[in-house]
Amino acid sequence: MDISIIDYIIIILYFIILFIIGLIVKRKVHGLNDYFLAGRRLTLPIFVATLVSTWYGGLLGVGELSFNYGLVNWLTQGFFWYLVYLFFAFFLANKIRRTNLYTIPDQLERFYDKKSRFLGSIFNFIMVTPAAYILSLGLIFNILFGWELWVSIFVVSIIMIFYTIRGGFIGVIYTDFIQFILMMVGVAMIIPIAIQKYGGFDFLVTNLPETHLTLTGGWSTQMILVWGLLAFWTLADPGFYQRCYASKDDKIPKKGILIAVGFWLLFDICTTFTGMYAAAANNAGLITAEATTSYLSIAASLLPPVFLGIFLTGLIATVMSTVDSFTFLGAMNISHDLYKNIFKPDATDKQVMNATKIGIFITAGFAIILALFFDSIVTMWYTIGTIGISALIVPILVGFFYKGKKSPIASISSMIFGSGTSVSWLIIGYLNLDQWGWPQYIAGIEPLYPGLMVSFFVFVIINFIHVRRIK
Amino acid sequence: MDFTILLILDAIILIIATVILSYFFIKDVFKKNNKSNENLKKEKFNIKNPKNNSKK
Repeated sequence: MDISIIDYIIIILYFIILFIIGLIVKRKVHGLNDYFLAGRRLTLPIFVATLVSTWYGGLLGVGELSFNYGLVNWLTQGFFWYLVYLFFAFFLANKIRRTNLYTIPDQLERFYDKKSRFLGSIFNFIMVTPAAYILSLGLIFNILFGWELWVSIFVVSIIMIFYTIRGGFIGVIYTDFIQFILMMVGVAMIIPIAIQKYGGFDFLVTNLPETHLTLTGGWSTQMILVWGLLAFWTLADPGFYQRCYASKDDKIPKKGILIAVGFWLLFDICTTFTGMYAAAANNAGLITAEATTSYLSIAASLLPPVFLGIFLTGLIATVMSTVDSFTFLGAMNISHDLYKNIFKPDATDKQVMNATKIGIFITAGFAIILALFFDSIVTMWYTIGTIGISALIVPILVGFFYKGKKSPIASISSMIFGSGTSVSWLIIGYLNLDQWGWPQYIAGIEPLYPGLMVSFFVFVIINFIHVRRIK
Repeated sequence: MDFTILLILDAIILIIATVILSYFFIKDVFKKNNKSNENLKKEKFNIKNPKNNSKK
């Protein structure tokens, strides 16, 4: 890739800023509440900036989908998610804030018991594994600097660990703000330049297959619905919960999510069309691009120096903001949910903070191993999402919305059988690959469907039996 | 309206919205920092002058 010195300087400057934030922000941490939730003082603009930047991490995955399939990316990675965000905003956000807790497993203990907290912590940890995002950053660095993938992954992880350990959630918020600006500006500027250089919508119509310009992208209804179901991830997303807990009052989460949806809508349109422009330019022979790194290829061919530097930094920032937040959430899982609430209830705040710092290393280490093992960002999302959602969604939603008596045994069984079904389904699929290397699932049904169905029915049946027995 | 114009509009609105949110973000952070500095000064003052801690 042809990158000038000035672009490299912009990227390095960004990392220096993150480093300085790591150095400064430690002074603002005065206790566990500051370290975990920034003292529960997030105002509306801070809430929106940190939520928008954290939530959007899979930029290369989105590039892969929009390059390969076109507009269906917006439907599956945008539209379905907006519906679930709205549900979250109107029916969950304020309820979560009012509980004054810290994590999702806290809620599971409130609804059921400590065993549910324990099991929920494990699934929660799987869901916040930043492996897909660390892999994304590794790929970007691999292309930009020519380093080996594993070297890139390690360098990125060390920088992120430094400022996350020092500043905790406050560090994450300050860096999120810088990353928020960079990602928005970086992505927004490429569309007008692409239009000016390649032409308007007609260029896409001429150079893309017809399916790229339809909302379904030639996908089967089942496949589209599975991606739609994956949007339920939001309802069990620890990042959403953490920001709701950390907001200054119980009105901010709802308003904040509604504003964030506006940002995501505008941003998703830019990212989808950037991927489509990359595919069209590739088909027209104007650039040589691969699906996963298509954004990098189109940016290198379109943008002049400085602009390219800003775009690349925006790309890195988009992923980095998710990596740091997810790593911190994983660490909280280890220190708050397991260490403090299961193994050492008398632990002091200082001990919990130290356990969180160790947790940051454990979470990052686990993610690095996964990132080196998988080679597709989209596959990793899909697998982690399928397992986590089929375990957590039913117990959480029942906890919030069912007013009757709830059985802890039903919650645990629902998590075990729901995720167990999904995992078995995934394994069987991967044992029967077709000629293109795609998994062949039983009766062609994607694993999330049986996982969710089993989770739901197991909960209902066991809850019914157990509650009756108690009466 | 032409779809191309809508795309350009989308990018422009995104940048304007980012600028507005950044303005309010910085305003909030500075307000919060000033407040916590004031509280810190008050605390230091009270430590030096313990009489001020007693209720009238």
